[in-house]
Amino acid sequence: MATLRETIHGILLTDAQSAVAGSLGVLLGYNAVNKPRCVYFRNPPEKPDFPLVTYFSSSQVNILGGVEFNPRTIIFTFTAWGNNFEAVLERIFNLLQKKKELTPSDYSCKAILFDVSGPDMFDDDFKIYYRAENYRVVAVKI
Amino acid sequence: MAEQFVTGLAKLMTTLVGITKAVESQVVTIVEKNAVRVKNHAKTDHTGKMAHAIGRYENQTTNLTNSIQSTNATNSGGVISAEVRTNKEYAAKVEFGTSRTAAYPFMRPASAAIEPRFLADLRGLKIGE
Repeated sequence: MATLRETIHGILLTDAQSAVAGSLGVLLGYNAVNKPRCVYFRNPPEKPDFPLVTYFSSSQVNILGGVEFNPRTIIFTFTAWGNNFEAVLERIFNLLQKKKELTPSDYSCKAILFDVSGPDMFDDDFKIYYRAENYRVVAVKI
Repeated sequence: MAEQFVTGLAKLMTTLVGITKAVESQVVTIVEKNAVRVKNHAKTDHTGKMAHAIGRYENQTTNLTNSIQSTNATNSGGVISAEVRTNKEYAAKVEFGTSRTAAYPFMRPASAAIEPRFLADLRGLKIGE
């Protein structure tokens, strides 16, 4: 049984290696030889080949600063780096919306819900635009 | 031919308008109260990798923490809102991260944490009293 993170990563990775028009693979310029990776956990690599996607997850805290269990809400933050970040984030939205009703094998995940979109930002190190978007994932186990 | 008459319509309308205004007034209070809660939560020191915290290297000066403020609730044509904001330019970079620094969300977790209480407050509205 895949964990929640593995499930989400699998959704992104499958599409990021696809050559179908409109897929993440096309949008991010996937190439099996020269650019085999387009999706990274947390930060971009030391020498990034833009455009790419990074993501990380964090638990939602309650009013006391603690973490709820059963159900637990996990926040997935996806950041699209590159000038086509809007198209990339839209593709991620479409991918995750299709997975709104996950199967029970997806680690008792109840739903993936779009939460908020961050502002358009400019990275000073790489001189590139990027934007992050949050999704809430309600899960019984993670 | 049967005829039907409605009486007391004007009184009913007056009552409904009165209720609407009373409810709006309560909602303004609730929105404002919860905006303050979000502000306080965003300023709060959290453990683990949740929100930013006083003492973290990103927040050594506490300038960002101190800059988080909430506004009074406003009612613009029935749309009642209040803002929790910061005037620090780098706040978005702390919230969402950069290519070289991890994200330390502080605004979004605060609003998410307060959301259940906000909804509970709205459900507890006293209508028609």
